[in-house]
Amino acid sequence: MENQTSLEIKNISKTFPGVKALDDINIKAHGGEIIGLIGVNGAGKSTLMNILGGIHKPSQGQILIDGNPVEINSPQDAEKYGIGFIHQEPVMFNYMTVAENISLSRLKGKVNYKEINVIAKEYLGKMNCDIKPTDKVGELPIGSRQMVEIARALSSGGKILLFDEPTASFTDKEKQKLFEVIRDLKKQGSCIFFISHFLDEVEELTDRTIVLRDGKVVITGNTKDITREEILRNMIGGEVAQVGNEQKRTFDKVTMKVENLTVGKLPDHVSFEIRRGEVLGIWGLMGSGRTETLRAIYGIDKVDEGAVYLDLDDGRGLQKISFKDISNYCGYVTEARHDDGCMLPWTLWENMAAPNLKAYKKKLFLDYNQQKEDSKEFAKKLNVKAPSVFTNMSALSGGNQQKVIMAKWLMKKPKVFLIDEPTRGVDVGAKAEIQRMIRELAREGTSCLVVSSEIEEISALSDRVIILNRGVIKGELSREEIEKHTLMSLCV
Amino acid sequence: MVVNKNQTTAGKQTGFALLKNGNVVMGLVTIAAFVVLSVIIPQFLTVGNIFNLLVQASSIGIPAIGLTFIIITAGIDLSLPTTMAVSAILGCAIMAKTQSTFLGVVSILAIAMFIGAINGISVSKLKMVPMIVTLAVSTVNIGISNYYTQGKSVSGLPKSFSSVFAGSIGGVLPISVLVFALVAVVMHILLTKTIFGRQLFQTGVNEKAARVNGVNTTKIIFLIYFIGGCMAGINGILTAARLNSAGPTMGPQSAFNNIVCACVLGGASVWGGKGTILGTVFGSIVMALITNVMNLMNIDFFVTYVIKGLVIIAVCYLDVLRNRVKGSR
Repeated sequence: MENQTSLEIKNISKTFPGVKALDDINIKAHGGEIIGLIGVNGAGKSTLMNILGGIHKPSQGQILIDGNPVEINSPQDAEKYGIGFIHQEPVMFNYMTVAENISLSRLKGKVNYKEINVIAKEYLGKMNCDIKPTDKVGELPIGSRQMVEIARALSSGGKILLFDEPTASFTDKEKQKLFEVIRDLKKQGSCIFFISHFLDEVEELTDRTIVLRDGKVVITGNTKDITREEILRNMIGGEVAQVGNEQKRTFDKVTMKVENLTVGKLPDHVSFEIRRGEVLGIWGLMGSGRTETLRAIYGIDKVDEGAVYLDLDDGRGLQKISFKDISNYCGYVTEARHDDGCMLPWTLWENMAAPNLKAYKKKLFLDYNQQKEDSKEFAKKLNVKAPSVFTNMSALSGGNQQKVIMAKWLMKKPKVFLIDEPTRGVDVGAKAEIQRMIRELAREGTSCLVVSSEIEEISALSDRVIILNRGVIKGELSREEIEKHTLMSLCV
Repeated sequence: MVVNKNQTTAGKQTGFALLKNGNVVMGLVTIAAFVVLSVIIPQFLTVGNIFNLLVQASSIGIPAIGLTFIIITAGIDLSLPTTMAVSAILGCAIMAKTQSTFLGVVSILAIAMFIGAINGISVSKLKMVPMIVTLAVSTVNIGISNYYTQGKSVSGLPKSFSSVFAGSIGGVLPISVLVFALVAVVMHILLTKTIFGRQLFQTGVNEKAARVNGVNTTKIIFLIYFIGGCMAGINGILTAARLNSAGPTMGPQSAFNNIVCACVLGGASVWGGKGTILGTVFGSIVMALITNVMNLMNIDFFVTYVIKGLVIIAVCYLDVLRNRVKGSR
């Protein structure tokens, strides 16, 4: 092909205070190619993309586009050089129309709606999308929003497209649609970078795979020539730990009973029991009411009907617990870590002590030394990789943040541990560790209620799975019965 | 494990590092100002003037301590000065009628706490926007104050009222300064050493996460507005005693400017999650200092408004700077 876009990343390094995020990166890419960029959290994928997108400046090195050295100092520069950045969570103005969002960076003075609607239609049409240019972005499902974001990148002349974990919150159908669009864009000569945690996505979609670790390119090669084991090994620089397959376990006493739990339509009269040391999985698609069930049990959302009973090991057996007191006996790892899972600007020990303050009250006042000591102990126990417990939460990778959140609840010694998406946005290494941790907790007698959108995870973790569909329990499977197709067939 | 004393990202910000510690900056500014002023203005460094300054600082500082709690949750209470006025007016009316200092003082406190509770319920339980609710409450306060007094002052208070609450210990240490110090110490301990304090900060940093952590954020938010009202009441008692009367002009808008300025100058961030009592105390002294110096220099009253307005703008920018240093970009 002639006049093909080409991108050359030459000796790029990036140093943040105390961390070398990128170390002498060299990558050549050209139009008509899809490059999969993978690596654990903290490997430098996002930093590299942010440099191309004009958000960070490299400490060293050069970027050449079509053979000419360029300096990308701002997202506007990136746009000028034809670099389009499609974010994990689409960054858009929800109250503006699709067309306005697509043409946003070119809007000046009086807006010619006819013109921008035509532009929007043209680029959405290129991707075979039937999204109306006049719809409000906020009313679109997340998959369609991503399409709008791609259209925005294309309409500003995007030739080099960076996709940063675009499928994280997608349904399977939305994902296939996105892949189709990406393949089309490749045919039209775009140069595409695709970042993902999911190896199968990279295998399915990309032509070339680049694995980053500790800010360096560790392997690069044609996707079809590299094996999955090779990728995994290079990503984490060691062997992958697996969650052990155990014998069938037996349980005696019921620790929690949920009865007719109802919050509007999600969940709708949900009842189940968890026994001591059991991991109960809740499986269902998005919108099945999984998260809503946990929130209701934990007393965050107001419950219309139903009750929760707990055995507090005080010899009285199951007792009805009022919803406002349940948080005293349970831990709850939320689905959205940064939204409601932790205090990002706070240090690790402050985060870990936050839900456990009552335990540190000495007479009238709080004992901070004890909080720090206990936090150190738990950070070590859970293998949190951080300089110290005085480090800020925001400086940690997703996997380590998740471990800190697990730790803060373990310090509380919960009767029942509610865990929503234990390993979302967590790298492969930490993922296996967290999964092993949950199994171990269960073996030690803590009952765990786990929600996950990954079939592999739910089947590896659970002793029993209940299947939710539109807020209603559709079935229950024991560990031996758990199989991909039964899970899928029950939830759709 | 390595213990990293600098709790935020390591090194390289030494210039800004001091700026980040509001108390250090405020302490230095205050001391420098004292030194410079005592050299250039002869009547500045006299015992009389210094205590006069501290009395002024206490009438800014007591409500500012209440506002610090509120600002930590990213809230605001615009009604503090007018709550002080209306509670002092109604309480003094009771005091004048009954000639009972005790009954009067209790009434002032009770009325101020009641208004604080209204603010608290509106913001916490009913989820109203703090700025609008407290502005509305403030408007009601102004209305009641002026309607009841018809613009005049309530006087005829028992002698014991001003002799106790506007008096001094040993003829040197004014009661209001003592109360200011006591309030500051108690509130400092409440904020830094108790479960309530930690839960308040959690609510300010991330309310949703605080709820998951088991914090009853509704209760916390209610309590801080209630405490705010309480502080307005204490200030109302001290101010009315000093004036030996109570009138609608006790709580003007400019008083609020001083209060919020003291908080932000002291390192409380209007974005929430940050604030210290020590900083607010320094902030109040600096604000009193500005007023005091402008008095001594015979600067026109309305020019002082312009200067204070500019100080607020500067302080708001300082807040942005601090948070930019602390934030990611």
